[in-house]
Amino acid sequence: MSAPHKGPMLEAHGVSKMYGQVRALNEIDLVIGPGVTGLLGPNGSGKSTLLKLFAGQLLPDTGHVKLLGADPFHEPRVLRGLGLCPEQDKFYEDMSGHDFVGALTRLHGLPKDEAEQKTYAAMKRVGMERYGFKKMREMSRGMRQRTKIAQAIAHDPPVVLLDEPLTGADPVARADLIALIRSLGEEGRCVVVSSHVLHEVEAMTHDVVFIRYGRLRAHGDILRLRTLLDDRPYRILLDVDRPRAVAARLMGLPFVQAAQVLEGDAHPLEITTTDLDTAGREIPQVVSEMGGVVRGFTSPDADLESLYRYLISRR
Amino acid sequence: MSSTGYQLPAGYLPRAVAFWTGFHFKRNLRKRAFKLWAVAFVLTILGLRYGAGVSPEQLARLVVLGAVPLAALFFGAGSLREEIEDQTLTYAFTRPVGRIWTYVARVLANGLPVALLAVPAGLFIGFGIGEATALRYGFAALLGAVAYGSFFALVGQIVKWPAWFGLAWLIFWEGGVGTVPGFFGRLTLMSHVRGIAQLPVESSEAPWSGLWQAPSFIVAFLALAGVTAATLWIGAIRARKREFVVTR
Repeated sequence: MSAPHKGPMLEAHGVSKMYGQVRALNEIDLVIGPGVTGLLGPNGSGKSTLLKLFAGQLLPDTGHVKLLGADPFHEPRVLRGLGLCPEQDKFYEDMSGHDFVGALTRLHGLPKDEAEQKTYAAMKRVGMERYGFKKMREMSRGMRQRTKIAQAIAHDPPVVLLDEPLTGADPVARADLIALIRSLGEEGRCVVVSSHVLHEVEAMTHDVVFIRYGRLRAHGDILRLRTLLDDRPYRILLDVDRPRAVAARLMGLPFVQAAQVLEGDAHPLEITTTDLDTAGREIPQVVSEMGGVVRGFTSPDADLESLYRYLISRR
Repeated sequence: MSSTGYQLPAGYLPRAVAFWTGFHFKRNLRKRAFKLWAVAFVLTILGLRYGAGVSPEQLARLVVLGAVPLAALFFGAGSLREEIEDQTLTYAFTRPVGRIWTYVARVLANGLPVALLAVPAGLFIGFGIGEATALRYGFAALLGAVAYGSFFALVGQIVKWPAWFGLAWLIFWEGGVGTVPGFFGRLTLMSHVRGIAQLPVESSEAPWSGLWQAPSFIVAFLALAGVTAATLWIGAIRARKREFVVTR
């Protein structure tokens, strides 16, 4: 990869963006460093607009964005450090995938031979070494997607922006691309992946940014976010004997908000808490003091999907 | 791993611009539209010259003053617009070459096919009269292709329907006002192409043709070069400052 950048790799400070009367982004403050970051939000939430701002395609109406410490719109030289996989499925259709990636790699100032080598390496890395000589118009959606990712990484950029990179990829390709994206992050690159397919993002990273209605809802490690959102109730499903007695005892604890016995369920006791960590430590102890044992302990609200649902439900 | 970081290698810009110009020039040559234009040029010239017996001077008026601006409109107006409509502009505009030079490369790449049609056509027609005329026609065709191409590339950025606008411009402004004697006529590119090619307004084009005087070679050359430079520059600055929302 390119020489490591000192300081934040992507920055947005007070960034707002309007499309006519529509506010696409509203006062976004965000700093992103190395590693994979998932950019999450429903359609129309402003994810692509934010990526376009980082890529120097758009200018913010207020605030400023920085890519590797420079303004990407006014200082195009810094785009040497950027690899962008845009959302649209558009190419120079008459070209082969290899030629397409090669041409765009040469626009980064690489001599022909070096560009050729890097193109080959990138196509191989995305699993397209056998199909790279097909014309773009003859490729499947998944192959086109891989080729689009190859043009984003061929010139070895420290920052890679991937806008819905897994669209159209089959399950095997998805697994491959997830592994590739993880490895890009492990190499110290700043990789931002926009997606609304939550379990895929969760497989790539725990560092997530949530956007909704153009506003930044949350940013950080998903586990840390969970603890920061202390007003968020979590359900815990417990498999214990004598659920009524356990429920009565747990209701006396400060971190337990509610307890409900679920007749006939595999997990007959549901606890509601805002402090998942404390509950995880203390509940087994309390049950043990009562002479019982916790056979099952799960929280259906602790995964990324439920956090996402919770965040986007808050206006 | 590269040791260059995100610094650009020495000599990057001219290399990248030359590459991108050549890349799109070659793509343009492979397109069906260029092949159709080439066939139309050849058939029209040969058919009118040897089939209908049209004189070289009349043929030069048709080709240098008519077909070349039309071809320049067709190719020039699409310089950036084509990539906006195809949604491929994102790829070039997110490279370090920058928007100004990307635009210049695209205008050159779309102007070169017109020159490739226009110059041999001008030379071929002119050789029917003499070598000096051939050079004049060839040079006028080249300057016309460049000036009109650059102008219509700017139009393609600004106007929503550049083809219709360009056609109206060619018919009413260039073809109409261009025949007017004096200052207003000099405001058209056509009058300067006429000046280079020494193809004055004829009585069949305008009843006041006797009053029309061609600009001198040097004035015509400077005017065409000036318009080329100015429209290229304005187009490039506009490309740098404008946001191109390819998708939303």
